[in-house]
Amino acid sequence: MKKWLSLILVGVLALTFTSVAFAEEEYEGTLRMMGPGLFADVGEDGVTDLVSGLEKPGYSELIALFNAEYPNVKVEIEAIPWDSWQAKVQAAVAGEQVDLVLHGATTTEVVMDLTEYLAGDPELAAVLTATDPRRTDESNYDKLAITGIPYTVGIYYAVLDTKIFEHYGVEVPTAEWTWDDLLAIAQQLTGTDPVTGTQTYGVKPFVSNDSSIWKSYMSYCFAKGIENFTMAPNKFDVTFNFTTEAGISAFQFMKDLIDCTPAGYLEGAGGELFGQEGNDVAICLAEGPEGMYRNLVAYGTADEYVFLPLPVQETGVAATSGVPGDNNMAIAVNAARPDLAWLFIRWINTSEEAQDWILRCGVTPCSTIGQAKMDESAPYREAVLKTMEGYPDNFYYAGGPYWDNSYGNSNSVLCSNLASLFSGSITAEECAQNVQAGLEEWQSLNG
Amino acid sequence: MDSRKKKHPILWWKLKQEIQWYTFILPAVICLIVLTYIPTIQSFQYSFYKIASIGLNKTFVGLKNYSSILRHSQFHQAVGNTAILALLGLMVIPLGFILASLVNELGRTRTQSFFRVMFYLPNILTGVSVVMLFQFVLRQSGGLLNSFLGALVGHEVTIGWLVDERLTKISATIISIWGGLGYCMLINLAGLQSIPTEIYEAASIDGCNGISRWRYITIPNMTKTFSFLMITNIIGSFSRFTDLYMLGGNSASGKPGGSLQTIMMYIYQYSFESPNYGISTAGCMVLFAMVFLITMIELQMTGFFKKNEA
Repeated sequence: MKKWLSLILVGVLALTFTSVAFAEEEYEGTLRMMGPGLFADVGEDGVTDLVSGLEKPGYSELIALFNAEYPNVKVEIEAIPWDSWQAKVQAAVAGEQVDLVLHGATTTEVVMDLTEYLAGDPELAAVLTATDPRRTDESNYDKLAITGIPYTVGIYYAVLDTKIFEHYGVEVPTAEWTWDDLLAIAQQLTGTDPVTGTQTYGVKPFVSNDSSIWKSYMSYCFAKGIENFTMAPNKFDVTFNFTTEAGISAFQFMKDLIDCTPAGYLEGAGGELFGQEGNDVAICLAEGPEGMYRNLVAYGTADEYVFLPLPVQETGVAATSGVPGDNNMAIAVNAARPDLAWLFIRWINTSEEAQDWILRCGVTPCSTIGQAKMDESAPYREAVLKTMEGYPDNFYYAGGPYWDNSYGNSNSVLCSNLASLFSGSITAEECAQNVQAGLEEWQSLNG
Repeated sequence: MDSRKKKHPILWWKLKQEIQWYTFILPAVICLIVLTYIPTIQSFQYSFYKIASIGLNKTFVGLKNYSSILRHSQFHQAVGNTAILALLGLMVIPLGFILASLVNELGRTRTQSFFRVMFYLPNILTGVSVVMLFQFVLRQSGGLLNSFLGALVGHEVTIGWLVDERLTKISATIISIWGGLGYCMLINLAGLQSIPTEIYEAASIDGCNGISRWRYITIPNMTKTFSFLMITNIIGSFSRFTDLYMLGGNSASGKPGGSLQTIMMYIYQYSFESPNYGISTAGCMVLFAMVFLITMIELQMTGFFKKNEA
């Protein structure tokens, strides 16, 4: 009897120690993170927004929340600025110095394919409103792999100054507006304000930096279903359609749109007073509406502005032509602890405390858990929800039939030719021909 | 060993001295090898590989990177832009000479010292702040230059100095001449002041007037100075980056229309903006070959090798 009791006791003890050891081994170790994005924006100890006064919490607070659940996981973060971030990330991965790459979805050569990770985690997949798929295999180019998991989204949206609309007697559009409506309105509102007598401009497309103008172009093509790329299994067999009638019309549309922008827009000037007294721009297209709204509140003009999603997507692929920029996380291809990296990705998207932290940073979470916590009175809420609810699955806006920025320096070719188009030195047709020729040349030199 | 030391005491003493001297320069030599020569050799090696990410995957492609670059129209445009900007930049030499001549006429007085310092001041300003200043001056709407021209002609002038690809090279040249004029003036002034005054005195006795003096005495004696400035300006133009990068909107694409993209910016673009290290290192090797060739030609033209032989 005593022998049996002893044996049972030893067995129970062994089982206890084994399970404890196993549990400790699963969530124990060091997790190394590196990259740009939200963590770099808020810093370790947090920042205060100079305009709105919003106090954003630092990432040390987020790590403390994580460690409250996983005390044996030591987290090391190196948050870097956006300058040459891709080269820095690649160097860090090559040096085996990082497990979790912040904003690593784009650096497809150095991060893992997370498709199977996500397929094996239905709880996480259920709460994500977007993923970050990329075309990673040049010989299997019509297939997408998930290389990053977003934890925040910053939708492309429009904000309208209703005062200027009132002065001109133009009706404020609804969320069902089209890009043609946008252009027509912008043209109507470019001129001399009938009430104030000052010059007004119809639109400011994205930031005053023509490196971002491709976002307007891509959104327009997405809206109209203009497929500039006919995809093929091999990247070097993909054909380009910029010089079709539809392709040329997209460039002509952009030219007409730029004619409604403030003087000096192409040089980064114009529209500096947007949101404030003396604003002369009727419609501003931008990314991430939360910061804009807080600034309007700080200026005391929030009641004069309306937030809309970007114009509708007209072929039924999505609800709007707006797409979500994001902050995402990826796992380095040679990560020492990919399990811990996935644990953190999962945690930040499913933990209530983590979602609260993201919201306090003044950005929109990617997870439905966080989006449900968004301020119901926020005027941009409907625009965010409409954009995200209608966003297609497994879709990458900068690597698909509308625009693909992975053809060498294709973004540079596009933006450079758009700049020439806007300055009047080339026509829309010439712009289309130049962009087509630039991409075809890249294909022939690298194929 | 001792017997050899006894046999050749002076030799050993010399060797001991030389080892002492070499230990002083050893740290610098090690730095040079580790930080310059090894990376250069590695870059040369990378130029024969397809590398999207250094340290991870690389595929040997032979001369394909060189072939791609030499057939790439964007690279041809970058070479053309570099050459045009280099030639336009040479205008600083005659302008510097004219300025130096005027300053030289003041004689070695405090006034001359004052103007020497004042004209050289733009050269010591940081490149970034100069470009930011000129972006304001050359702005299409409300810029200082267009406002001035508008005041002259009586109506609004909106010349796109920095947005029209037909004018951007002129704008970039204005900026580089403004920044480099002081240096050129100083070098020219030094050259002018080194011409022996006895030549001028002898010439005036022979009835040589102002223009003839300038043509037959000043200019011929200034050829070495002009050659030096030409060589340094052309070589400097191959490494020009900061101002053109900023004028292009903090992008190496050389907007608008790639009109400001030089070879250096092309290399930068493929190193950091659209990483393809095989292409960028091949571009570095091509640039090295071009600079080497041009330097040899210029040295040959200025008789550098003949002097050494003598």
